[in-house]
Amino acid sequence: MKKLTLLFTVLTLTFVSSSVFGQFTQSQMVDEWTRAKAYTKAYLDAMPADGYAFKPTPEIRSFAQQMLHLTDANYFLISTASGKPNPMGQNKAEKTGEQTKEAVTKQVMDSYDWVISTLQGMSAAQMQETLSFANKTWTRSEMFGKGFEHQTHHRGQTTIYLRLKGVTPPGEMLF
Amino acid sequence: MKRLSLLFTLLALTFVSSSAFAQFTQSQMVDEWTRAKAYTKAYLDALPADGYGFKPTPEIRSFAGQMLHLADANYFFTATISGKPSPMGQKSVEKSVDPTKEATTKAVMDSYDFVISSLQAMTPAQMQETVSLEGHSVSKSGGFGKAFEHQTHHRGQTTIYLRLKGVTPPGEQLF
Repeated sequence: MKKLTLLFTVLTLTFVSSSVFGQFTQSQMVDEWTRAKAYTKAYLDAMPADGYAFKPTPEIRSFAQQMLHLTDANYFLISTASGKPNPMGQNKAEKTGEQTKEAVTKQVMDSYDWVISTLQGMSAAQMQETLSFANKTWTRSEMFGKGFEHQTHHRGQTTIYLRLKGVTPPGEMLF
Repeated sequence: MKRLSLLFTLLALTFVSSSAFAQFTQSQMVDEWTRAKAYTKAYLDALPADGYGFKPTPEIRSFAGQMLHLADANYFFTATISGKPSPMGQKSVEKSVDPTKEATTKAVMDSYDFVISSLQAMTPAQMQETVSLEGHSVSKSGGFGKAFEHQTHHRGQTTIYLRLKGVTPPGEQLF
């Protein structure tokens, strides 16, 4: 009987092990965010300082504001994902941060560093915990994925800001 | 001794089970791609037909060109990862599809359907195999993640095309 229980446990664990396998492992996620940081840095570097205030149309965010919005969302979404307090508190980089090339670059890079160290500090069990957000239930791990998509989307938008300023954007760094 | 080896197996499986846990499970990945398809559809719907040939600057892709490139990459990544032949064969969507609103929308939606059905057909064991993408060795599961990032990046770029044509883009559909 005991052996049967053990066998059953083994089978269950095997099943769990394969059914939970997904897109990226936690250490691959760290690699993805590290690459994303370098990729965004290439965009920040590519835009000349006088292009940071540029807006393709008057009603939308400037290049600096897009990047600071990305920063705010890195903090907000990953604070939600991890359960760790947002180091910005109620402050918004987009509203209060300095919008020069140098200051924006530092704020954006700091936000990626916080995401990466927060991700590294998560246990495997924590990654599988669930939370409620936007009227749905998500694993913490999934929320990290949402954070990743958000920064990809906004970096993507700024590609056209670079083009409109006559700058050839960095090649796509998907790997 | 037998018990000890069973215990050892259990421990090993537990370890595998937690270290293999990752961002999205396969069924969550299907949900993400299904959302991505609807999100891109909202962009395709938002731009009037006469904007499909629009380029923010003369040297870059038109709106239709961006969307058809996204479709090409959906086919390329998925065919490479899954081993299923692309229904496009060697043909490029961007080079062969009429860049009208109707034809572009159909081609793009078809490419998402191919991704989703191919993803659903993958076994957990296949998801853990490695594949070479653009000269990089990744897990097949991770490969789908790269493909996901690619379409997010290009949809993101087209946000500014919409703005420049006086269209308010769809709100971000991250959830």
